[in-house]
Amino acid sequence: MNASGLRVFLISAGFLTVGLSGLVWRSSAELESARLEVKTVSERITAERVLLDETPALEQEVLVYREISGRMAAILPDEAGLNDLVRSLQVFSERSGVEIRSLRRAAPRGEAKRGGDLRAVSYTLELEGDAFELLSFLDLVETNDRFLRIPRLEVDAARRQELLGGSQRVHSIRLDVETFVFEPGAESEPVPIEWADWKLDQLRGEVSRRRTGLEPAEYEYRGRRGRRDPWVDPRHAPAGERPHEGEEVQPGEASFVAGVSEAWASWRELEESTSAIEGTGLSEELEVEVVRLEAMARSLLEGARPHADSSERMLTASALDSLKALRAALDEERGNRGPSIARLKEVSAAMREHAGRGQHDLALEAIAPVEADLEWLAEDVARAPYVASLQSAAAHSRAELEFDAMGYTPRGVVVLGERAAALVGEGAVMEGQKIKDELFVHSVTSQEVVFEFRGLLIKRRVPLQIPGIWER
Amino acid sequence: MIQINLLPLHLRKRKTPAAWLVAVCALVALNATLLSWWTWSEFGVRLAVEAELDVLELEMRGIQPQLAHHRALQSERARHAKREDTLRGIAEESISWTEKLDQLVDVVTDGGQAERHKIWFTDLEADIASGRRGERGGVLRAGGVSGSERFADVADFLDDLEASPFGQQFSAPAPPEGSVSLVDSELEPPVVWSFPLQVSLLSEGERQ
Repeated sequence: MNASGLRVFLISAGFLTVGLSGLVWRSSAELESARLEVKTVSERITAERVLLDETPALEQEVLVYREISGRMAAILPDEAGLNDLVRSLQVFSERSGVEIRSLRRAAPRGEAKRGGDLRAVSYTLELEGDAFELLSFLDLVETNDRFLRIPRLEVDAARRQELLGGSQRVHSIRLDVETFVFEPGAESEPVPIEWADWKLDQLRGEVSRRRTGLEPAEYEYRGRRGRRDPWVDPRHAPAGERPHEGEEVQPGEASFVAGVSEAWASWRELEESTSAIEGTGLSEELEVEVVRLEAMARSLLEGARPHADSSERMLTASALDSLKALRAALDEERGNRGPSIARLKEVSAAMREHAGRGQHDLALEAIAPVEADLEWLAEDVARAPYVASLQSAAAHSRAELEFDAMGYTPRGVVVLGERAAALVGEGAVMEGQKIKDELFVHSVTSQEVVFEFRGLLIKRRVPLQIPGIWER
Repeated sequence: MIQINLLPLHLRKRKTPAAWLVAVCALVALNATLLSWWTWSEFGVRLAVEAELDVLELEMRGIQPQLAHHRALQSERARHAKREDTLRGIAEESISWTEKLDQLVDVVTDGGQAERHKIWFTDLEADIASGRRGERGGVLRAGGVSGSERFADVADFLDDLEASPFGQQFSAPAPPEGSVSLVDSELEPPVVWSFPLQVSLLSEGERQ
């Protein structure tokens, strides 16, 4: 090859080199780009796979949320449910004893719209009632199935003059009741989840735990329990200076109210007691005390004073309610063990006392709370004697009441020859005579006539004597 | 011996210079290498990479429905979570006034029975959100009356209140202050002390 040919060759080869280099560079760049894309897609797939690994957990979470959301929809009223809310407030008022004086829709405090789909709705209520009626009302509101809360509360205590003036409703109460209306708006359909029901069954515990976290802790309100109204001046006027001149204050009522209060104090002591032996002792003592108070309550009700001032009447009435609540608490505490011997003794003594005064209806009231248990208690060797005594006393009191209802009370005693006769009903009956089935005249004296009714002797004093009476 | 080339110049045999030869060889080798590289890269590596990319894209398309399901679930969860947070906030800022007033009645009654104090109130105002400056959150205010000539009874009452379950959700009451408000010889005791009771509701964190 001559020099020029070589030159041409070299130049051509040079151009070829440049061209090939360009191709190689471009190819490398494209390859690098393809590799980068592979890397990117690969990393994305890895990341998405990590994400997809979380799908089962996410599904579980969504299922839990759906359940909570369902609960939320159930506890938060919709617009139609607001009318039910107003009806509920009326029911709460009737059940608690407070009187609603006004009910007004109020502007919600703070943000009206919460979280996008919860709208605050607020009512302002003006009520009248005592502290325990208020507490009962608050309890009904705060433990309602629908979510209700009380953001604001004002109590204005009644003045002493108002209390003494015979008003039954004491304090002026103003409170806001707030709820949230659930307005979810347009939202997409729930994402379908395979085996959702089965998965949800595995998550019941979690659903329950999360629901609990959303609902305010409920408080168990247990009534008055012998406590005094903290908005009532507890001072009493010295004797002789009471507002109702000439009206004697019965010490029985005051001691009854104080007794109920002390019994509740003993109950609280019993609840706090950690020793089983000490607890049993306290429980027995409390049983005795409660039966004594129940007897006192029956007597108070029998001779209820119409002239007692309203605050005293309210105090006694609430003490009676409080005593019932204490009895219920005691019965619940004793569970299925039935009444104790101490209680049976006390009931027996109370029945004797009532029967001795001719108050057989009160005697039956005294046994009523334990009577249902007597049948099975008779099988308990320790309690059987008391059960027999109570059953006998109850049968006697019932016979006495039934006898009185038949109208055979003797009007007098007359002499018929050698024998005496009692004037009963429209005729005269003599000793040993049968009046009707199960009712005989057992004996007749100048003082009393003894009847035999269902095998029990029933004595009735003769109220007056006919002239020429026969003394035996 | 000396040899002399007597041929005319154009007939003489010319030698290619070594440098040229080297350059030609180098260029040929370079071009051959470049060509081989390009061929290997274009028809070997690049095709493999593209095949790999196709496989990955196929895989990506395969998981797309699952991803769409996942994202839909995420969106649903976010919607529910927002709602739950709102409700949790409402539940946390709420307070059971039944519980608090019941506990207040306990303190008043127990103190009376133990003869530590004889307290009653003329009013009460309770709010879960205080609107007044300087007050942290909810507040309970009441006009208290101590039925005793001893003002120390008020301090006893405030101590009892702080130590009771009532005090667990409220800050400590302010130190006792008050004045003789009523003298009524018809009542026992005739002298009573009036005092203000004010306690602030503690936040969730402050309670723990």
